[in-house]
Amino acid sequence: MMIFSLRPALAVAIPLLAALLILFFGSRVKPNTREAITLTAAVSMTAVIFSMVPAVLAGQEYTANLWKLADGLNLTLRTDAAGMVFACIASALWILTSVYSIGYVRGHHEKNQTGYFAAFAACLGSAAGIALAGNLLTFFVFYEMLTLATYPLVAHYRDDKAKASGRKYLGYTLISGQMFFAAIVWVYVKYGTMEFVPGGFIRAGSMEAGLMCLLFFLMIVGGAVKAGVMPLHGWLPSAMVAPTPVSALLHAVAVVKAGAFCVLRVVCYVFGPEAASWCGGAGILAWFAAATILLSSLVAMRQDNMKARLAFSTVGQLSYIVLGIAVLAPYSIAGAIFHIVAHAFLKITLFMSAGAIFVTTGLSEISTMGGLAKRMPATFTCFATVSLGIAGLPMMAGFVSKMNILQGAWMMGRSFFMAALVAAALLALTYLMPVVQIAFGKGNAGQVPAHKHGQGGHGGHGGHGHGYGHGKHGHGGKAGFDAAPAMLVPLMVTAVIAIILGCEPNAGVHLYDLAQMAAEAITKGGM
Amino acid sequence: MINIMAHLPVLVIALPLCGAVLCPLVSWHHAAAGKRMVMTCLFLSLVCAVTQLAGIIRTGEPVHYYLGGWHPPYGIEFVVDGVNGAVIVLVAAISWMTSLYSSPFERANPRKWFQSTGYYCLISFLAVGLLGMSTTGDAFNLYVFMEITAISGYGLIAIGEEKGPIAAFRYLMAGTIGASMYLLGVGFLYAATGTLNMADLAAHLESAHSGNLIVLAAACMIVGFGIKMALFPLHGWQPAAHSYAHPSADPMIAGIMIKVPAYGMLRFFYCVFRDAGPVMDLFFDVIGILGICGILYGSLKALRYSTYNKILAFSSIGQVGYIAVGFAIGNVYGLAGAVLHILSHAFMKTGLFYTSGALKYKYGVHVTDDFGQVYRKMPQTSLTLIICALSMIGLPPFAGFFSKWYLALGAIQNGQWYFVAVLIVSSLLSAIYFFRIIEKLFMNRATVAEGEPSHGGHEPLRKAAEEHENFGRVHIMARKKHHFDGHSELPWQMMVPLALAALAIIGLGLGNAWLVGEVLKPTLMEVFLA
Repeated sequence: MMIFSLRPALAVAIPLLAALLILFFGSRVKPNTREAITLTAAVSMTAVIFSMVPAVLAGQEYTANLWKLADGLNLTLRTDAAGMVFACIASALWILTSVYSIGYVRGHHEKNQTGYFAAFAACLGSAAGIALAGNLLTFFVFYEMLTLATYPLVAHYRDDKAKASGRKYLGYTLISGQMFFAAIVWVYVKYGTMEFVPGGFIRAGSMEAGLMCLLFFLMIVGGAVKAGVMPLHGWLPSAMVAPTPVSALLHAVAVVKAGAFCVLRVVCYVFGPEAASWCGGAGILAWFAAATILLSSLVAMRQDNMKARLAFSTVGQLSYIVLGIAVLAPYSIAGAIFHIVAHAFLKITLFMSAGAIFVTTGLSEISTMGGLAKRMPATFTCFATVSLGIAGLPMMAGFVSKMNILQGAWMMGRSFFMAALVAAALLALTYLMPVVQIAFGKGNAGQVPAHKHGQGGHGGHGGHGHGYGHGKHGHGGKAGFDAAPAMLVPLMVTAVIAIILGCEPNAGVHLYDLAQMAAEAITKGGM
Repeated sequence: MINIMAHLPVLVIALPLCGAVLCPLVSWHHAAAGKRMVMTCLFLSLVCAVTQLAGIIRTGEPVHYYLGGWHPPYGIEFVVDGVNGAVIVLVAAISWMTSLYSSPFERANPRKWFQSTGYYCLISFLAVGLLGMSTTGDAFNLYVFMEITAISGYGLIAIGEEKGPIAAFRYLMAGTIGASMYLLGVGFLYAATGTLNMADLAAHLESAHSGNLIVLAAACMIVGFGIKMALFPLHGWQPAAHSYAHPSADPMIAGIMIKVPAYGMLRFFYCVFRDAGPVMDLFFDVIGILGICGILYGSLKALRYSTYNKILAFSSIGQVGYIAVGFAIGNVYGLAGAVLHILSHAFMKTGLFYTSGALKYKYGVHVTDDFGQVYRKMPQTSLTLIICALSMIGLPPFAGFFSKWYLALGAIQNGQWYFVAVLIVSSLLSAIYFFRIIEKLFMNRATVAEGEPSHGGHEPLRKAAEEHENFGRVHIMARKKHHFDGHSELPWQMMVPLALAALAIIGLGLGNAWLVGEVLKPTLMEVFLA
């Protein structure tokens, strides 16, 4: 049943409005007032989205037809089960990343904070729009807005390195966006509709198989670039130059998830399992995803820079989602949707830990972190726990989703994919556990005054630390316990949630039920 | 009592004409009076144009106005329907905005009376010509207005920067050829049919026997309009003219002077030639190929420059190609996309040239490498620049995206996928050159913007102006003190047009469905594709 309501529109409008407010008043009011706008917007957006969950769980949909976006097409926002999962995650994590961001940018004395918070809010508004978009054109509008809103964050430091990675980001996303644009025009002219339908509106056999495969990939490329499926992942590791909360946003909250969500919408809501497998596109996509899962783990092992290692881990984990979707089994689709949730909480904890370490001690290379756990025990405990979750150990959120994907692959008889999934889980241990090992092991990284670390091993993005005067406010010898509370609390919260979701996937707002509902609707009750 | 509503079509043109003619006389009495009168006349003309369009939308009927009560084929007829009604509003709006925008520029001018009066006279005449071209339903009358446009255009380009007179001379040569070709085409048509009224011409051409003559006339028309709208490869005059024109008139010259001929081409080919046998097939092929070449050439060429105006000028050549492609697609969505692009690109280019003028006005910079950190001092100008640039690239939710959307829709409906490919390539190329500008604006080291006018003196600015000694005489005024009264980023007369251009782009983007669905599509179906 549909409920006509402006609530979905409100969910999108709040962060966009907040972005405008911050942009116009940000430099005229005190930083505390400015951050109050961000936090108010984050909390109210989350409240609006979570308030819609009970009705959606009861099988209803809130729909807002705002105005005509183009001739014959409405700007439609609709809360279906899959969209709600993404919207819930994005909004809830925005609160935590905001708190963390405030701690980070102040602790790190970042420049251009107003633009930073405005772009952050705009990203979240676009992500909500992507989650709730009811048709392809609405989806595309918000998808491009997300690209634009993320660009200033990626290029935040405005030096040569940031410029280069900003260009790379724009290159990847704009080119794939234009291909997506061509594809949606093609779909609209050919099928006369753009509304997302669970199970898709493209029928197998309505077009030549080769052409349909071309159409499939024109659309998928749009999502695959943001989701970092190899060989389209190049922008993601270089976007590591951005401040750490931005990496958290990119990797956990909005951007790569939007890419994965785009793949979900295209495969399950435009093509549908039947047409996607008939044209052969889903099969090819699954192979790419499986290859990405394995290769990215191998690459991640060789990265010494913490954020780079985590970036390649993201590339792999996102391909779990893509693989789950491309396998086209009901369980794997549910697992893929839930992996959006699970990976969000796990990866954001890892990134927040990396950022907390960097701000507190100035360290960004793993090999220099020997013994750091003595200095930051809480951070590293969270890091260690969550690493196990990424690997998919039981009692952690990652287990629920990965098990589902595995089960789906088994039901479809794709034994190679099962092997790849298991192998990648073990590989994840091999690249995350050494970090824990080094930190809890011997060494005196925790004792040295912070600014002296500026000399060593900052070859990578971490080099920004010096330019912005980290040492000046140094924690030096009188180091407090662990990281600043604004950074420590959010990362502990996300770690705890990751454990809770692993024990009881339906805790809170029944995200697992929503994922199952979506998968059932897509496969017409195949679960 | 005269019913004013019945005379709107002529009032829209007559008001700026009065302003233009009376401006020198009034100025003699009081220096600022002429300027204010021109602004008022243009504003009233805009009000009339909007009222007229509202009436047409309400009744759904085109307005026919017979000048002096003489009916066609002997008298001159003005015809206003949904499509040119919208173009008239566009022209009137941009003319008024530009007249407002110009006033801070002339304050510093040494030859005050002559230049400011002449300038406003020319602006007003330019508006008259463009409004007339978009209103008239008479082929010869169109030529007259085309020449009014051109001559006032030459003047405004010549009083611009140092290279202005040369650019104006080049445009004079090319423009005269273009107008003559058009006139030649009209002559051939007159020979074949014996009439000059467009509707009448269309009726006669259906039954005309002299096929070759008509094809020749059509070819002349393509060249004539092509030169005027800077269609590749007839664009030679355009980059210099758009780069060196008077910086405050440039927005109008670049924004609408090449759009109205494009509208003229649409009107002529779809309303006059549409039943004239082989002409339309020829038109589709020629205009499609030229459009594609223009899009690629303009976008590639724009990559090579670092002078802001040059980039914008070459980008215009590419964007005119979009419009030509829309004509070549030739179905409802293709034409709707072309008309929407005429409207949206006019606002985008005008907005961008407003920012260019503002940067010259405040800092005297014209090379994009010097834009570093300017956004800190001119945040709203930079915001307009970004909105216009994103719209030019064709990113949602701005107007440029939706004109591209309709063009692509029309192209795919016809199975002409190569047009979509070209649109995409062009979008990506323009993304390169516009993001390059944005990147410089935000990330380059500050060169001119570091000097705070209120306490730092104007040393950096003066230096910048001296560095670009060849930069032109208008920029001498950049050294004058009263331009930098620190409390606001620009005088309000410049801020208002800047904001309006940005708002128009957002408004056209969000309201495009209404414009296309309620105004353009019905008119195109009834009048252009009947």
